[in-house]
Amino acid sequence: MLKQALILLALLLPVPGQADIVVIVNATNPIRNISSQEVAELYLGRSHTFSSGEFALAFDHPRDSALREQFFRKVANMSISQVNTYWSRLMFAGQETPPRSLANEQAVLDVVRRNPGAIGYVGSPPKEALLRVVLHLKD
Amino acid sequence: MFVFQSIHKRLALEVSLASLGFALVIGFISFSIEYNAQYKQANELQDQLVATVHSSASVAAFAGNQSIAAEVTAGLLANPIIAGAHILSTSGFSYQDKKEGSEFSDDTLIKYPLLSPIDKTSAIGQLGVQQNSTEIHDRAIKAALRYSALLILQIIISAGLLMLLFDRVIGRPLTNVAHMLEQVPPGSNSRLSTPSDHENDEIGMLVQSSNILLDAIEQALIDERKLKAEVDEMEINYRRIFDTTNVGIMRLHPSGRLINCNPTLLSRILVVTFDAASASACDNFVDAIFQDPNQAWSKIKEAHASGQTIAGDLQLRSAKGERWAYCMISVTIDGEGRIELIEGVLYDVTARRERESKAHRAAEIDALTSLSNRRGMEIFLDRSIRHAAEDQVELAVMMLDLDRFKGVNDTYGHAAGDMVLKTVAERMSTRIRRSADLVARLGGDEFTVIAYDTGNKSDLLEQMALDLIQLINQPIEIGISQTVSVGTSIGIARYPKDGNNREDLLEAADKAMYSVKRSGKNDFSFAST
Repeated sequence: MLKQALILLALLLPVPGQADIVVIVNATNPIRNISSQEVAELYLGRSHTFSSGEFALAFDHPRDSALREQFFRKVANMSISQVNTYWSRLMFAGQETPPRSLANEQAVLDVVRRNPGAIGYVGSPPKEALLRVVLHLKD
Repeated sequence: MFVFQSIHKRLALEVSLASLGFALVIGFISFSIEYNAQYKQANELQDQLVATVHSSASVAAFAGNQSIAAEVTAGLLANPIIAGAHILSTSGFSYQDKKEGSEFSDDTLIKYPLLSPIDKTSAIGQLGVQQNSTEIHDRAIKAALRYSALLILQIIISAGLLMLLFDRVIGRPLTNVAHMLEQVPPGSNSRLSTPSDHENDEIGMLVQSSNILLDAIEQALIDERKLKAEVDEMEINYRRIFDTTNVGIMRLHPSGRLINCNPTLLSRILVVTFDAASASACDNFVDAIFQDPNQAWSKIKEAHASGQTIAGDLQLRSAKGERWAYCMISVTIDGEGRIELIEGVLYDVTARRERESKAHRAAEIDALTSLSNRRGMEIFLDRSIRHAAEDQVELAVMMLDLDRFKGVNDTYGHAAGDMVLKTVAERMSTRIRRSADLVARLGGDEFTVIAYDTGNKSDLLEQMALDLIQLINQPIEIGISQTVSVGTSIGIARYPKDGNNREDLLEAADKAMYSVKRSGKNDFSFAST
């Protein structure tokens, strides 16, 4: 009863940070869209290129960011701790480093706007022509 | 031949053999079980190792990270049971590592699927593990051998302990009981003592049972001795009777062979000398001891036929003088009615027989002249007539009466008359053939002469009568320088001419004699027919 009520409450109230997540790339990037699988592989270091063959440089949010937590939940079905463990294992082995963390969404927008191979994700679709939304991660 | 074999040794042998067989079987089974267990353990260990590195391997495959892959394979190879490992990714990444001298073989390669770290369901590659089968085999063999060896050792030690304990708990006490029992003289009152700590077990029972048995034996021996003493005494008594009785006792085989007899029979009844050995060796004792064995055998047959004791006087064989025994003969028969045993009881009746025969003779003899009397004459005449009839010969009966005898008796007295009679008797006896003829005194001055086989002519008889008259007529000395003379009248009857029986012959002879007396005396006359 309580559980159902809470779910109902969560659906009714427009909570910030619970909105959609969009994956963005530089407008010059030839790809028009990307699968969540591809996104996950880019962010988990399995892949370093877009489907077009261009080198991809992924940017991330701070480790404890709520948006990051939601992102990895959506693309890889992994918790933050799982992701951290995964990366720490790869980092311990050397050779691999996780995507660079940026301070906030604005920093992500700025980096993607400036870098043609960059990929990032933000909480709401940006209204600017230099960026392109390639994947809409809905709830 | 009896060879002592202790239970302990036998048990040791049998337990050793059984243990050896058991140990071999157990060793074999435990070996194969342990071998398989080791193999299974190796596989489990490998599964555990793989589980440990699985997520790292997945990451390596997912990220295509060679360092992690190298770490993972090195980690696996660190274990001796793993000879090689490789990580393959669907994205084309591959890494492999192996120990020196090992080869990858697809047949023995164990493949573990690697799953995506993202969704945990889709396969992104595989982790292949090459087992070090030589190592696993060696380990399994070693472990199995050790295990089997331990088991076998355990069995052997158990068997050894069992034997030691058996010897201590059963073997030695049993031996002790046996030694104790050995030293108890039969019938003595000593008993076995129960070994300590065995009062309530089978050894204790054995000792108790042995003691009960010893009690019973002692009692039985006491009874036996008592009984034997009684029997011995009886035996002695019977033996004494058997040995010292005046009765001869013998037991004979149906063939007549002596089985046994008492000493009396040999020493006092039988006069033919037998010792016990020669008596036993004699084939036919009956034939050997009886004067007329047929008579004895007929008594045996009679006893057999009647089933009763047959008794009678039998004459025994004897070198000098007649020996007689009163014999009681009985037989025992076997199941088929045949004689099994002849039993004879013999009394010496020689003395009685002698007395009887003397009495018989006395009855037939005239005491004064020692000639046959009337009775003796009659018996002799009857017998002679029988013989004459059988032999088809003639015989003669002479009746004699002395003339003038009464005068001698009256004048000189009875002693003189007796002297006359004795002298006449002696003279007549010289004239007859002693074996076949007889002179008898019938009483008073009457005599009879029986002459056998006289022929059918009268010459011989006439001569004999004349001789007798002449002999009698000789003077008879009745005292110192005193003599008398008597005459005689003789009547002669002949068989079969004058009669074929005693009475007729005597009567005829009597008549003839009286005719002589009437016609002048001292003469003879034949019976007139």
